[in-house]
Amino acid sequence: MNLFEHNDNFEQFLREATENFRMRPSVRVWTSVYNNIHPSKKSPSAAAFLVFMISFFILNSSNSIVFLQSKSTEKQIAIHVHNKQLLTYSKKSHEIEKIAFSKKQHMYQAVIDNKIKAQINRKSNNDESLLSTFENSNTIDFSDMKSQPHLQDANLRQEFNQFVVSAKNNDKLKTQKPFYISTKNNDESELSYQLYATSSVGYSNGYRNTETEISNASANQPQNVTELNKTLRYMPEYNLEAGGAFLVNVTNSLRLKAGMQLNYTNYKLTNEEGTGDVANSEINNPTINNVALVNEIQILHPDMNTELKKYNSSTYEISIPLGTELELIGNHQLKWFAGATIQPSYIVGGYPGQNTNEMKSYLPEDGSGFRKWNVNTSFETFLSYKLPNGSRINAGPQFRYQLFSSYDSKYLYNEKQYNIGLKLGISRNF
Amino acid sequence: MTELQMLEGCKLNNVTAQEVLYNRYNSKMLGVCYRYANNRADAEDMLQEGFIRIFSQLHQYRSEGSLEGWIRRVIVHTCINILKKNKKFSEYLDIAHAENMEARQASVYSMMQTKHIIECIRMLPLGYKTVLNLYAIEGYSHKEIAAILEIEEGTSRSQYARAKIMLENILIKRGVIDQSFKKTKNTAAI
Repeated sequence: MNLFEHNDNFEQFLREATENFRMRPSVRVWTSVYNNIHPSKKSPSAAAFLVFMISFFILNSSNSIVFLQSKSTEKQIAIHVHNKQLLTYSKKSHEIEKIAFSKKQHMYQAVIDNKIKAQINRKSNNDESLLSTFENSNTIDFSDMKSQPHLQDANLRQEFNQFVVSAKNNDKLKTQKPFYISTKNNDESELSYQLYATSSVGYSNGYRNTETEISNASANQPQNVTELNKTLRYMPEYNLEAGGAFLVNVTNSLRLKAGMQLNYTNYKLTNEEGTGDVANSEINNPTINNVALVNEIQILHPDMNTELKKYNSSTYEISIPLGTELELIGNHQLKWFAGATIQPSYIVGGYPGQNTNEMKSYLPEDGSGFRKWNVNTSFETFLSYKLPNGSRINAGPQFRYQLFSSYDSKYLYNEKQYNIGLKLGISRNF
Repeated sequence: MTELQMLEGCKLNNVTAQEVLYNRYNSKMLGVCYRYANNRADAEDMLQEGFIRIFSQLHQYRSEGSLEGWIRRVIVHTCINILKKNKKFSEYLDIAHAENMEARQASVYSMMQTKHIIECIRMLPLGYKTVLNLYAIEGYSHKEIAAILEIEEGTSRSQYARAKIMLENILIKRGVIDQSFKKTKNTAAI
C-alpha cells in the first residue's frame, strides 16, 4: 500500500521536513562570490601580497640618499644612491667609491657585505676637517667633501658634487636621521642558527595504489575501490612542528641549512555523508597480497541511532630537514626569504593507521603495514626582522608534503599527508 | 538593515549590503543545493554560482513576491544548469535506465529527523531526485519541470511517481516514515 496515496500529504510531508534544513557554507564560498562580483578589489591573495611586498621594498630602497652610520663616531659612512649606483664615503678612509648594483633589493646587502666592511677596516690618515662633518649624526655638512683628493673619476666627481649640492640645499636631508649599522654586524657572520615552531593544519589524501594487484583471496573485493577518495572524507586537524637548524652562507643571498625537527601529525577520517555503507564495503578488504588490510572497520558503518564516527590518525616523527634559504629582497632591518627543505623522517610513535575510537585499526596490529621511514618536503616564505640585540624574528607561511605513501607499497591504498601552517622562529649569528 | 535597504545597497554594489544578504540566506540555500548535489563540495559550488547570479540579476527582482522565493528560484535553476552540464545527467533522466536503478545502499546516520529525510532523498537516482525536488518541494508543475529539464511532461510525471515509491520504500526501511509521517499528520490535525 502506498502510504502517500494522496499526493498532497506526501508533498506537504517533504516540504515541512525539508523547510528548516540548513547547512553553513565554508568561508571560501563568500570569498569566491566576492571576488567574482568585485573583480577590481579582490580579497588579498598570495599574488597581491607578493606585489605589495615588492613595491614596499622598492619604494623603501629608492630614496636617492641613504646614510649609513655606525654608532661609533670613527666608523661613519655616507652613501649616495643614484642611477643604480652607490657613492660611499668613509670618513675613515676619506674615499668615495662607486658601487654598481643590478637590483635595488641587493643594494643594502652589497654595501654591508662587500664594501662597508672593507672600508671600515681600511686604515688611512684622518682628515679632521672631514671628520667634523660627521660628528653630529643629525646634521650633515657636505661642504668639505668637494675637495676630496681620492675622487679621481671626473664623471663620478661631478655626480658626487651634484649630490653634495643637492644635499646641502635640502633641509630635509640635512636633518635626516642617519641609518645606523653596527660595525659588529652579525650579518657578516657566515654561520648562524635558528629555532622555530610551526603551527599548522594537517590534511591527508587517499587514493588507489595502482601498482598493487588484488589477490584471488579477495575475490569479493568490491568493484568500485577507486572511489575511496570520493567516499571517505579527510578532515583537517591541528599539527605541530618544532626544531632547530644551522645555516651557512653560500653567497650574499643564499644559505644552506641542516637541522633536526620533531613533528606531530594528525588528521581525521570519516565517511562521506550518506555513503556509510559504501565506505564500509570499499575499505573492508580481507586480504591484499596476503596482507590484512582491514580488520575492524565496522565503526565506519554508522547505525541509524549512533553518532557519526571518526578515525583519528596521529604520529610523532623525527625529521632531518636539509635545505636552502634564498633572500629575495630586503634591507638590513627587514628581509624577505623563500626556502625549501627535504626532510627524511622516522615515525617514533603515535597511532598511525587511523585507529578508531575503540582502538581498532585496519592495519596489522604490529604496525608492519605502516611505513616507518618516509620523506617530506617543505616550502616556505618568511619575513625576517632584526631586533636591536642582533637576533632575527622570522615569520611566514609553510607548506609541507609527504612524498611517499604512509602505507607499505603492498597495500591497496596510498595515503599522503600534507599541512599548511604558520612558521615562527628566531635566528642569530654566531 | 531592513530588507529594502539591503536590496538598494546590493543594487548599488555595496559590499556590506551584499554580505548581509549572503549571510541571511546562505545556510538555507546551501540546504537546497545539498538536495540536488552529490556531495557537500558540489553543493557549495552550486551555492557559489547561485549567489553570483543573484547579485548580477538582482535588478530584475521586482518585489512582487518574497525575496527568499526569488533567491530560491535562482538557486534551484543554477543547480539544474550545473547538473545539466554533467553528461551523465541526461542518462539518469531516461526512464528505462532509472527503472533499473536501485537506490544506493547508503546509510542515514544523522540523529536529526530532517537530516534523515534529506539523506533519504539524496539516495535516489539523480533523475528521480531532481524531479522530486522540483515538484514536491519547490512546487514546480510538471509542465515547468519539463521545460526546465528539457524532457517530456509525461517523463516528469512518471519519474516523479517512481521517485515517490522509491523514497517511500527507503523511508520505511530506515524507520523514518512511521514516526515522522504520523507525527506530521497529527500536527496538521491539531
